[in-house]
Amino acid sequence: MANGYESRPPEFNLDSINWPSNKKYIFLGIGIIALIIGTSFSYFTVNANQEAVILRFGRYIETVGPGLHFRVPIINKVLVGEVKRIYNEEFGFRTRSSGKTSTFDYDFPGAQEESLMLTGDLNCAEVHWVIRYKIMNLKDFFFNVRDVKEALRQVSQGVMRKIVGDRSIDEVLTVGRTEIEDKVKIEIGDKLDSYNCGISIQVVMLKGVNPPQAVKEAFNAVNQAVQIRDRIINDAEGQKNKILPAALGKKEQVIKEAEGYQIKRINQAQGDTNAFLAILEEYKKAQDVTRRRLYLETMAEILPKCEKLYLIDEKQKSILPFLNLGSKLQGSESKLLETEGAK
Amino acid sequence: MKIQGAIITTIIAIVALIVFIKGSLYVVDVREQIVVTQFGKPVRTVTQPGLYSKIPFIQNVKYFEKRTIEWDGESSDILTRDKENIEVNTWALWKIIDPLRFYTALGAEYRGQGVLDEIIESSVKNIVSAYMLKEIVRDTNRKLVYTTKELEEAEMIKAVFIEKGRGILAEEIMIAASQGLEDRYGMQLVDVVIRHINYVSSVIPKIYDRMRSERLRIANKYESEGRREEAEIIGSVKKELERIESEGYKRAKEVMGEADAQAVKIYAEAYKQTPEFYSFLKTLETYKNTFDNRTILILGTKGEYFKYLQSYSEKDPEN
Repeated sequence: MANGYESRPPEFNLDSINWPSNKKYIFLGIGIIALIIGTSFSYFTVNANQEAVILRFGRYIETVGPGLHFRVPIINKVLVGEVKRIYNEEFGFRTRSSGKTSTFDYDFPGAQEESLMLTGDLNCAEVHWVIRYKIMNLKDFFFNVRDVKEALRQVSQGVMRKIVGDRSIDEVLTVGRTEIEDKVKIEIGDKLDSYNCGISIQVVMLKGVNPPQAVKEAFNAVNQAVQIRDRIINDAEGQKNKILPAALGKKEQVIKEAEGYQIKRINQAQGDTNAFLAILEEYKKAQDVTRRRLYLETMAEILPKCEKLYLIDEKQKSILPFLNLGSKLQGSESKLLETEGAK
Repeated sequence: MKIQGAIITTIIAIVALIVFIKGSLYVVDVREQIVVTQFGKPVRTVTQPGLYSKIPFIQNVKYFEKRTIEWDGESSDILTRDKENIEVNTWALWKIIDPLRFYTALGAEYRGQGVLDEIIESSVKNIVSAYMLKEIVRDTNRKLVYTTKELEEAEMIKAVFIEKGRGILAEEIMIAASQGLEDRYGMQLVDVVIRHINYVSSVIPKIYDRMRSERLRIANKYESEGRREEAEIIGSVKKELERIESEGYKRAKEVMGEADAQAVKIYAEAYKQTPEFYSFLKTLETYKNTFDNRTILILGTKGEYFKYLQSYSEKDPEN
């Protein structure tokens, strides 16, 4: 709100002092000096990012843009404001130094009073936010509200608390943040418009919303618990994915083996029966001889293998006592066969 | 000398003129309004900007703010209807709408602020203490959203119906505080903002304890939820395992049974043509397989094999 004066030091006209004897020159000199001083106070420049409100005898005349402008001293008053500039207001924190790595101060005196607020479920949250605004109408900005910046600061705190007070702690901390920003922006805008204070809100940005320091640990514990839960579930799923495919593989194996058995069994049966049928074919041609031959061949093969062979006449009925069979048979798997022989 | 005298006279005349003009002309800025007084008695008010005149020395001009003025209240501790001890801080905007009345009743802006100190603070106390805490904290009956179902249900139980909410209560405070403000003081409230409502600092540790226990309860719930789901997964894996294994067993047995049946059928088809020859062959085969070097064989001489042992004639020795 600096005055738009551009003042230059008055220039002395040396000519007028050189001839003090000539009174004409004295008046002329005074006149020139007055003119120079007058003109130097009559022009003012408005910078590129500014506008100026011109008053004549306290009455609003016009708003002018950047450039060199004329005013009549005493009669005109000029109020200059930066209309293109974005103003910044911080709540709950202060930027200590800005740049590549800005540092913020969250602990300045009165920080808690700005940031600590009640949520709708009567929990506490610390909210830090930034509001960016612009002067939209310089005339309204200068003429309607005495301390526009203070009005913005107060209204924005009131509105933020009202909106946060209508939300749960979860919404404030996590899910509802964009919605809060939007609502706060609209409501502050409405209120400031109703005051006609000539500014417009550009951005409302929640910089950080935290649970109070004293309960932070409990909130972190919740996050940790979520991770523990997810890990337990993932481990179990992992086990499942390991065990079930293996079991399916095993099942396939068992079935395939059974199928293998089936093939083998049928082939064997066919082989056996084909062999039998081939023999049968020949047997039919010479039944008696073949039968006899098969029998004798078998006997010839098996009899030499036996350890002992006893031949007993039919009439001899009790020979067993003579043979020391018991000791021979004891503990052995020998087979005692009695045959009628082949027919 | 003559000229010097003339100059002095001119200077005196100019100074006198300036003083006279200064005393009789005044500018009212667009941001101000004025009351002209004569020996302390108000004679005229001007609310429109411009250049005005008055009687010099006799009349005086009192300037007042025409723009909206801010009022900042002190925090006050109030007990709500549900006996919660809270700290409320309000802020307001006001303006002088009748400079004459304002001048006669109060005289200066700071006295106007003093009037508001009393009026607004007592309205705030009256209204806040008449309502439950939630009525002042909440603005509407909007449903609170939570990230967990359990919390949402817990909050539903605690939920109270908000009759008015903070916005309307702020308006009520403004209406109550505005009463008689214009008639008595020529002032008008533009807005009353409840800047903050908080528990008084002695209660805050208890609030923090509550928040902490609430969160730890959720944390425990998450963990046990994980355990529950784990058990469920393990159970379903076991079930699935049994199903897969038994299915495999069943199928394998079926296949093998079928195989055996087919084999039996094949054998039967072949052997039923000459069962006798089959048993003959099979018996011979059995001999081959069962006799070994530990076998003791006792045979009657009547057998076919020994037919020629006692006689070689073509005739059967028996017959």
